[in-house]
Amino acid sequence: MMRQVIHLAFHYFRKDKRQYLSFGIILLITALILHLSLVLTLRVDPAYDEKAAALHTSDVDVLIPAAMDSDRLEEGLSRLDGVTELEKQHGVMLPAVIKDFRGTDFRLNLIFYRYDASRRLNMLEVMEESGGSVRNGVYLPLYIAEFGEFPVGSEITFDCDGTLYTYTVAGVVQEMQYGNASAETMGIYLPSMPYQSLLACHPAAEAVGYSLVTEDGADNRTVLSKATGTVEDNGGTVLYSVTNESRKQSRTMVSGLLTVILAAFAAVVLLVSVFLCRFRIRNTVDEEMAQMGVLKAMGFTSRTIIAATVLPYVLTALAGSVIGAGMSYRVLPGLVDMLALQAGFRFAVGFRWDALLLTVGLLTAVTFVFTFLAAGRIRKLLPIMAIRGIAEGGNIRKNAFPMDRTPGGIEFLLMLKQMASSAKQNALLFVVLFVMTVLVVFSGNLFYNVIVKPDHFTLTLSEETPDVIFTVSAGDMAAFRKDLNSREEVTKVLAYAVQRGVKVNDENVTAFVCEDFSQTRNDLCYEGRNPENPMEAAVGSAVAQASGIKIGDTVEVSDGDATASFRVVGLVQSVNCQGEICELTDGGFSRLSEDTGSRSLYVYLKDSDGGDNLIRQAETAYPDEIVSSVNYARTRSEAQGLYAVVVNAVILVIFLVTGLIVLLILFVIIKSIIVQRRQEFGIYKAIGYSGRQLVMQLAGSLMPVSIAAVMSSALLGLVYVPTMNRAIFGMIGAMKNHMQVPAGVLLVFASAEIAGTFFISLLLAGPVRKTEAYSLIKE
Amino acid sequence: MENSTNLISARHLVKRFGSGEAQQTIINDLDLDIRRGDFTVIMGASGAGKSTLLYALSGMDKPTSGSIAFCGEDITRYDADRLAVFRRKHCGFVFQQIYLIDKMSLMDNALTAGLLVGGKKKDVVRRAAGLFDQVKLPEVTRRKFPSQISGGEAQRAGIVRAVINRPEVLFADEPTGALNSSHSDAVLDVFSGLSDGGQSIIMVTHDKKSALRGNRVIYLRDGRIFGECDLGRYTPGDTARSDKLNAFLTDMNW
Repeated sequence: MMRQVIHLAFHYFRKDKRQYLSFGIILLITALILHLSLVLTLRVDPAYDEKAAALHTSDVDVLIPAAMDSDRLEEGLSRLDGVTELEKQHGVMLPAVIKDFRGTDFRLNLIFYRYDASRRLNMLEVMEESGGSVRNGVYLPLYIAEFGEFPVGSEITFDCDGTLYTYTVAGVVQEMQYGNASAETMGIYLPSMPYQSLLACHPAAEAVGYSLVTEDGADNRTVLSKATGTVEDNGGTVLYSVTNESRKQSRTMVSGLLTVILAAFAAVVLLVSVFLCRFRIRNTVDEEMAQMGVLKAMGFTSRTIIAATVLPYVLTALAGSVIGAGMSYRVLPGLVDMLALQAGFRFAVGFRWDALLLTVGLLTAVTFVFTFLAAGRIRKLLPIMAIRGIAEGGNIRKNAFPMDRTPGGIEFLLMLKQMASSAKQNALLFVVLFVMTVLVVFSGNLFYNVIVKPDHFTLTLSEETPDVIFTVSAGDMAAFRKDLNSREEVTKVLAYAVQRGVKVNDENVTAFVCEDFSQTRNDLCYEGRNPENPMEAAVGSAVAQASGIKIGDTVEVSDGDATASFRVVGLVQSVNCQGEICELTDGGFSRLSEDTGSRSLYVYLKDSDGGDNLIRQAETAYPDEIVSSVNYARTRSEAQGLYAVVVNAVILVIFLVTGLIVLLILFVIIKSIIVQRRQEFGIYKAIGYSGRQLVMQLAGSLMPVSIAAVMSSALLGLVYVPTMNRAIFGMIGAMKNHMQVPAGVLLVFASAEIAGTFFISLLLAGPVRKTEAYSLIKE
Repeated sequence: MENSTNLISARHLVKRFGSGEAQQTIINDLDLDIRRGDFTVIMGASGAGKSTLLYALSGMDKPTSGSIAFCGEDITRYDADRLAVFRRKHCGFVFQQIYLIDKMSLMDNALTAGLLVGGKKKDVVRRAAGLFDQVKLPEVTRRKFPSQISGGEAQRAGIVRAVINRPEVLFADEPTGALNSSHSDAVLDVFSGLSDGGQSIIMVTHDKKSALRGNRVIYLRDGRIFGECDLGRYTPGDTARSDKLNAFLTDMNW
């Protein structure tokens, strides 16, 4: 029997090899995308952890002004519960502008460290280094060197408080202590001489960074809150603090999103290939019905014929998925480089047996199941009926759109009739275009929300987004605030504090404390409302989930020894803090603590571009009050630029893959129409239809279904795209997203898809034009 | 020699298939004039090039070399789309395998050709109905699919489709080849009726009974005209015409 199966399967394969090839290409694409997604899922997180471990990266970092450092503080920090190791590094922390960073000025807080300082923690891995000695050299972290386009040997200029410092890039280092743009603070590494001269120019900016290693299983946020408390107890101010989890979240966010999108993409393409193989099997049964009847009459069992029909598909799926998975290793380095640019660390992706087996196994199994089910129809073929070409149910049809009674010209009528008589092709085309449109409108949604209106994307992923943030020293900031409010370019100023070390029902959280949440730009509340009075609080998604907190419940919020009860009025989100936050009003927090410690003034400008000017003037006028300042609008814009690079790549890939899949599906459909109706087209030509008319008729007959599928999917997109956004962004903790789905954008993308489909149909229908009437009839 | 009554004039017509050693010459330097109003019958043994000649004359296939003038216009220089326009305006086709479009009713098959040329749809539908009446296919049959009717009915519907645009010449390739005797007679009667009305017809056949309907019989051998016989107008029961044809075919070693 096996020999018969193989012989027959080979016959089917040889007869339709181009169609198997197109099916194989679709499976190849599916495998490629799925395998990419699996490899990234399995690799990025461990790669981050491995790199962090290899460089002995600290778990918690706290940076304070050097003037506030003391032995008592160091001892206090080293004795914190859960801390196993501590290292102290001196640096110079300056708000700085990096000149010509990717063609623009990039403002952020920089901490200049001594490159040759002895380090046990937060080691630097030299990625590239100048061959000889470099005078006035600097070592840049990977993110600044690569994204800012400062290769080794080039010059980089920092504008620190109006003084320009130009260095030659002596090397590029990889570190896991700071990271990427969303961290707002980065490390720069200077050799001893340039470091000392910088410190001599800015003695007040000397800072001390405490890097803490915690024991396994310790809650780093608890350690951080205790460390912050210890600093404040010792009269200090925290300039910058971070946990390993926050760094990891911000560094791997884009790869996480990309992995989810790729997996969804693979699922859609897999669905298409499932429908395609089902369609092809049914066509094979129709085309080979008489031969199958003969085989049955000769004594072949249904099982043999089914096995021979299914086998080429399974083998094609096997080959396609192995090749596709293999090809993904050609794509991975480029993709990993792009992600590394965003993540600020490089990682290698080697061959993954687990991902390969999962990809190949899944695709082959799905193909087998669906082809086997579709081929079940062969069992019902009675030999003599099959020989006569009569399938079960007969072949008498209804005369759809009788020409003498249906209005319209001949070409329109023929298009309608052709469409009506191609139910199977139409069904396949509808399903394929409907699901591919899901991808197209999703890319339109990304295009609109990341490139056209980037704030939508940023607001979804970040917390409050002012234009400028001034961190002011503890004490009276009324005069500074009054001055800011009086400025014409300032629309409003909000006192906002991010307090660590707060607990909600014994869960450690970061508290966002604001005098008036209704004035914020980014409303983090996704259910209920923000707190409005001292008795109310809103809690983060993770806290609510962990403690089963619902709106209306009362929670115990504590800071140090002080505890107070609050009524929960809303649920709020935070991607950076993984939903472990709470919101309190100023009045509410004062029930726990009289002083909110170092506070920030969030400044909102009429023109976001005016941040640099404001910072310059404010730092000159209030040098004692301002601890640090950040042009947050600039930081945000830089991050948006990076997201745009990734999203542009995603959109391009979606369009290319959609185009390729639509091309392959239309090839299968149009080929099957031409094969089944070859004689019919010959008759049309014989009675005087031109090739152009037939091409238009064939391509046009596919358009009503194409338009219906694309437009219905695009319009339904108004419903499902927000759901997709919620699902995808919800996976990274953004329960509320600000992404908008404008019908116009979806329709533009859908129209482009329809135009593309029509153009591809015209190209594929071209062979009808070239074939002569006589040969068509004779064939 | 060209004549003003000539509808089609073929000169030095050559048609070859294949290439190299496998090349076959099917039509070999053939000259032929088709007169307007004639019912021309092309006969010959299998492989003589009858159908190839018919399809070359009709612009359905392109000759390898030579010229074909249709009303003085050389159609061999036309591209595929211009030939299609030429066919829809000037030619009608009837095939042995009938080649109705099986997904369409008989009426829709006729209208597929009728509506192509233009004119008011109402007029085209009325003309189709008149032709269906003429070939004795009632209203109920016109609504059926080709698979639901007999071969004779299908061939008569094929003739309606072929003549609905009032072609200058009707090309028929063994129109009775797949029909039984009674169906053949019905179809041939339609051809005779059309010929009596002045319709130019060129028909390829193997069948003497069919050939008798024509007034001019051309015999092909090895891609050339081997003989020609003028039978005069068809009259049912005219034994003299039958004898003349028999004698001619005997001469041709039929």
